Amino acid sequence: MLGEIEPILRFILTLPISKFVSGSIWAYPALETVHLIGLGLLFGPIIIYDLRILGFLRSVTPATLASTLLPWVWTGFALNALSGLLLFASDAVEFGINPAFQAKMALIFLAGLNAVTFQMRYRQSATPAGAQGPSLKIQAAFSILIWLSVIVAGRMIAYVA
Amino acid sequence: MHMPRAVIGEFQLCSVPGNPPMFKYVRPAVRCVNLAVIAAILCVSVSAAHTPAAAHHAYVTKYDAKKLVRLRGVISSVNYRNPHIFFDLTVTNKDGSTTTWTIETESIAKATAKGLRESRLKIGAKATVTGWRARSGYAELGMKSITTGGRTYAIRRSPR
Repeated sequence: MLGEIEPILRFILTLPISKFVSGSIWAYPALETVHLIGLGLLFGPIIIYDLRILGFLRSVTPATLASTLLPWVWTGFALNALSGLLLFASDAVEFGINPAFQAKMALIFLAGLNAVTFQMRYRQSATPAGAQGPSLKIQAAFSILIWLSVIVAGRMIAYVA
Repeated sequence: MHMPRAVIGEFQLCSVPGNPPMFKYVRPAVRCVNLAVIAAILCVSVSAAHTPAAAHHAYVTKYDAKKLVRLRGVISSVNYRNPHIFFDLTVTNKDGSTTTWTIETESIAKATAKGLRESRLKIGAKATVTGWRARSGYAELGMKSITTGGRTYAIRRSPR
């Protein structure tokens, strides 16, 4: 199922940091806590921005929201990438074969792809030519759906084998 | 200064022939579409989260409360780690064959609080373990209690 990356995952388990996270009484729960704080900072601003694109929160412009919130999104992403990487390292093989974990990683990639294409099309929409393809609102709704799915997939890691 | 409009909908005069004129509260169509989109997203997410597996704690998802068993054997390996501790118990069956059971229990903090420190799980030591069998049918047990080294540690009351 893992194929060629299995030796890499087994190697990660031998690293001191992996043994520290799994063997320490406090490291794992502390990292889980950081992961939740990061989730709030990441997902909160994203859903607010997407709701603005969908037509809610009209008292603020999308541009203001984007410039105000984006640093917090990146802060949350950094916290979660770091805490997630350490949690993953503590049990790399088990996470690697977990279908919910695999789905979560694929969904995060999809969410990133959606954000990049949204930004490109959002800039196009301000030009005379306008944005091509489906409505930006559909993409904003899709963004909310993907990020909610990331949360669901993440929570399901503990419940599927 | 431009003030943002807080209007969600507005009252419009509706006159239906044969009926007295009346005012009707009309929401802009676009906003109704948005609400429908949000509602659809929430429905999908909530239904995804309510698959049977997610409705319970991981322990009861994995282990069957109706299958409480007792095993006597020898501790053959220990993985004293977070988020859950695992160890193997090698049990000699009635026909002389052996089965290695994978036993799962709590986090380091919870096990330590119940007195089950890493040093109490000695490889090669005899142990009697009670617990709930895995729903999968594999030789896996969610531990209820363990007796080893002359002491009994009651870890869980139920798999829920």
